[in-house]
Amino acid sequence: MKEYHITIRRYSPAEDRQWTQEYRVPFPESGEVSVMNVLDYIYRRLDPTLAYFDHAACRQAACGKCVMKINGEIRLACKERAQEEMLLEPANSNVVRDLLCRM
Amino acid sequence: MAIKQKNAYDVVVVGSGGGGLRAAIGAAENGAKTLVICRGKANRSGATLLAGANISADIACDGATLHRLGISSKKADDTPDAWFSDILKEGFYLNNQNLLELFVETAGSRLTELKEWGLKIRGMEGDREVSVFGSDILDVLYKKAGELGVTFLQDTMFTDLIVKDGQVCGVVCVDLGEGEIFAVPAKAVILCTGGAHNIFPENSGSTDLCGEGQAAALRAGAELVDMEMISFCPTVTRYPLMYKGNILPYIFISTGYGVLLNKYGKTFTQRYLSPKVERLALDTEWNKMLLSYAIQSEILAGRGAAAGGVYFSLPQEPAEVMDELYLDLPPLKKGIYADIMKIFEAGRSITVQPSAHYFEGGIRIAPDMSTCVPGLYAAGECSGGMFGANRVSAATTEMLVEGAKAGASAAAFAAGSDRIPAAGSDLSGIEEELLRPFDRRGGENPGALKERLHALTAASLPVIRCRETLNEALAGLKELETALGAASLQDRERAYNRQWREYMELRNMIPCARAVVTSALLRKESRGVHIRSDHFVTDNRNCLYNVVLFGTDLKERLAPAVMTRERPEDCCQSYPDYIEKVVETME
Repeated sequence: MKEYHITIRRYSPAEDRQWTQEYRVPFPESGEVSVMNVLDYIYRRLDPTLAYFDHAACRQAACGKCVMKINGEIRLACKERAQEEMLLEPANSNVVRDLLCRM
Repeated sequence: MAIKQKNAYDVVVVGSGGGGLRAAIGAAENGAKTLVICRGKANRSGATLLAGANISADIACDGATLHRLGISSKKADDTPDAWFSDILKEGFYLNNQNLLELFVETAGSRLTELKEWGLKIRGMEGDREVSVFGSDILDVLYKKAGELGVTFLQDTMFTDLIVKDGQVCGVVCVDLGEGEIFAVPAKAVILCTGGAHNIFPENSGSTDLCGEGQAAALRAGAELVDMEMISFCPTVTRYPLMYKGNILPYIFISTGYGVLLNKYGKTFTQRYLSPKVERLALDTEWNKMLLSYAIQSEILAGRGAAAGGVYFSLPQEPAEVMDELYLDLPPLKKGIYADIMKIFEAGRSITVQPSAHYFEGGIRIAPDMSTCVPGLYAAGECSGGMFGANRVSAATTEMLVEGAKAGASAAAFAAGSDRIPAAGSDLSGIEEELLRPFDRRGGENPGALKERLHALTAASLPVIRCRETLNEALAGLKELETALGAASLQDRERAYNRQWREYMELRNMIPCARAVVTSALLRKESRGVHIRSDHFVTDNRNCLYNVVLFGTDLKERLAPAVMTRERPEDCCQSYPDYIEKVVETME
């Protein structure tokens, strides 16, 4: 198994609080894994409170809505291959919750 | 606390794929003050966006109209009647012939107006199929709807219809960002929510297709029809995980490239499909049903890939063939498709599996798109009956034809209604049900329940079904319904709460899955995309009926198929033999 080290900048609107959280995500050695796959793993297995765009997601780089900052670059989470060390941040300052922004 | 009420509309359209946008245009053109509830972004959510992987979607139209529009002369002497007969054969005569008449009679007008509104035609795919991009259809319709003054509410999940005195008078929704529940009063509502793809772990749809229209219609008193009929796309990506759900391998197969291999690296479709069927049908969308059957049979025989599915291989030699491929499919050079091509260039294959792709069945509608609940209309994939037991023609044409009709019908209904929408409706029951898991402790979380649902549908509703697993699934789904009533959330914030959203989705997905399983049990034969290993015959003598379900406890009724014009041959034959006979007549 390969282990991904993920750092996520989070924001709670209810508490109006920002913080940084780290996760370690195991994935098989072979095969392509997207940033979206990693986020799904965190939601399902580690932290069900993590928010990122997925309520009307094409997951095929067509809708363009899962945009976020991945290691400082604006990218689509579904199109970008996961890297072993990643810093994930909201795409802009108009944050709804965690990685979800108003565009 | 009372649910907040927003401004009232004449017509509320739920869903902003091609069907919803065309319905909104139809309503607005007929004078209705119209709102569209969009689950995601107005012109970038729903199933239309991914039609043909946004490489090779098509709109179907009769050849005579295509000739008149100067698009193609391949079938200039075509008639709506000839097209009608073909679609009926493709649907194994379960199609509602009144709906089908509307389809063949008005498809030409729908394509003509789209072209006038600026749709870019990119060529022809078959004799009756015009090549377009799904995103182009959405952009053209969205612009037109905007020009007509249609209002849009985005990132909003529809949860329920408001019904008073047996008539629909509004909708309940959740603003997913803020987590606020609100009501929109309306004189008429058109459901355009698409299929319930996400009841399946393997599907080709976007994440918003969860059956909320079908389930809300049931709760409001409307009927579902033909829910057992679900087309599988035979070669949807299962692995690598990153491209799960992508139908690019299907585009390759349909264009003629690549091969399907079992775990031994051998081709296998010839074991299940006769040379005649392979020759006649594999270059049309018949291939969806036929290849799904062949692949599922190979998997059941124990010759599938270790991780599930079978292998799709795209040999890289000779290099000239690769040049041909890039000439035929230029989008492969860019974006996500260029990434996928790297897998093949590295000498690897993609694991593919028949995956839920299109729902022939859905909300039961009359030819004016009305349901049996006054004020409620449905159009597009969430409705049922147009394509009977198998869709070969284009779902894009269906959404345009039905959307336009539903918009006009709903606007006329609203104009003739003097009721004050949603006045005095008590919505506290709906609110309590939506918020219930916030107050609970110790129940299962919705993510875990969704995994249980997926295990049940994967086991009981693959391409080939049988009574035993269907019965097990029915029992499992009933347990799941109880578990959902006791579900609790770990995430207690209202804003963009995925667990809460999954709870609200399951509230619709579980009844949809129950409807599919119930209908599949009631159809004791194999017809079109519904195959029963324990009833492996197509039986025109006893089974030319539609399965109709109603009530939240899914009461059932078998209604004779609506055959106003043509009837099939009176026979009862083994499934493969019957298909071979049908395919032969298509030549």
